[in-house]
Parts: sequence; C-alpha cells; structure tokens
Amino acid sequence: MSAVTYSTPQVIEFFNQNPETVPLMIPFDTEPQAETYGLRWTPYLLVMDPEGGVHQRAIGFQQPGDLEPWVLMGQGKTEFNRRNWDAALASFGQVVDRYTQSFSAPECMYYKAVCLYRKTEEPAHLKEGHQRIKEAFPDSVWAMRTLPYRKL
Amino acid sequence: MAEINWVKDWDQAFSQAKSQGKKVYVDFFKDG
Repeated sequence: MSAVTYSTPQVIEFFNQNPETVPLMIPFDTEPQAETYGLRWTPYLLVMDPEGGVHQRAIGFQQPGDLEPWVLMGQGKTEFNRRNWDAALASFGQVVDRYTQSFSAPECMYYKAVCLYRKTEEPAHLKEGHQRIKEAFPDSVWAMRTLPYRKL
Repeated sequence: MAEINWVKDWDQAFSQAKSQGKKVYVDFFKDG
C-alpha cells in the first residue's frame, strides 16, 4: 500500500484534504488493538467511529482510485448506522458521482437508494436504485440484492 | 515529496477524531 497507493498524488490529496476522517497507520502487531479488532492478515483496513465502532473493514491491497471511494463508503456507512441519512447520502453520492467505475460504486448506489427511502419513505427510490444498478453493474451482487425492489 | 499526514498513535487518532467529529481510517501495516 505504501509503495503504490499511498504514494499516489490523488490519494495523498484525498487523505490530507478529507474533512471527515483521521488517517491512522500503526504496525500490524500493535496490541491489544490487533486482536481486539480481528486482525489475521494484512493489509487490514478499517473505518471506525471515535468510540471504537467498526463500520467497514477490508483485507487486501486497494489500488488508487478504489481506496478513496472505499473510505468514502465507510464514512457513509458510519453515518448510515447513526441514521444520519443526509450525511450518509453526501458520502455515498460522492462515490456514485465521482468514482463511477470503482469497486465501491454499486454498493454505494444501493446504500444511496436505501438512504433516500429511509429519508422520504418513498419506495420509488428503491425501485430506481435497482434500475440504476442493473443498468450500470448488471453482474454485481448489488443488482441481485435489489431484485425485490423491481416490483415496487 | 508530499506524503499523507498520518497519525501514528492509536489514542491520539481517536482523541483527535472525537474532538473534531471525524471518523478514523486505520491501516494495520506490515512492511515487506
């Protein structure tokens, strides 16, 4: 990660100008945190709230252009879990709008649709979410997970 | 050359996040 992703100007700029997230890098054998948070392999990445709650985790290398939306998605999930729909939408929307072909995009399209539904209670957002995911990422797991919404 | 402004201490990162209302991105790294 350091040799490639963290050395890329766009990733450096993303972290250094990110108003929502503190970047923490610590050795894999830091205890008790490594055991407490389930580290079994590296790279091991988490997005956490300040109280220690884990809202997103991943094992494995992330390339430039995919790490940034993955972090944004974690920010969005943190707000989603707090029921802060507008704040969550802001993060998911950034991924959907800016990182359109990233690995996180279809999942963020899903969460965006759910947030819009939770905010408005209008089922059309779920149906629209399915349609958009199906068009952009027909083979993604998120197209499958939204299948029931096509009948709304 | 520019670098990410990493925090390298667990307590400091979470204290900073709490006081500023931020999240924490954690990388448990292993070189090599």
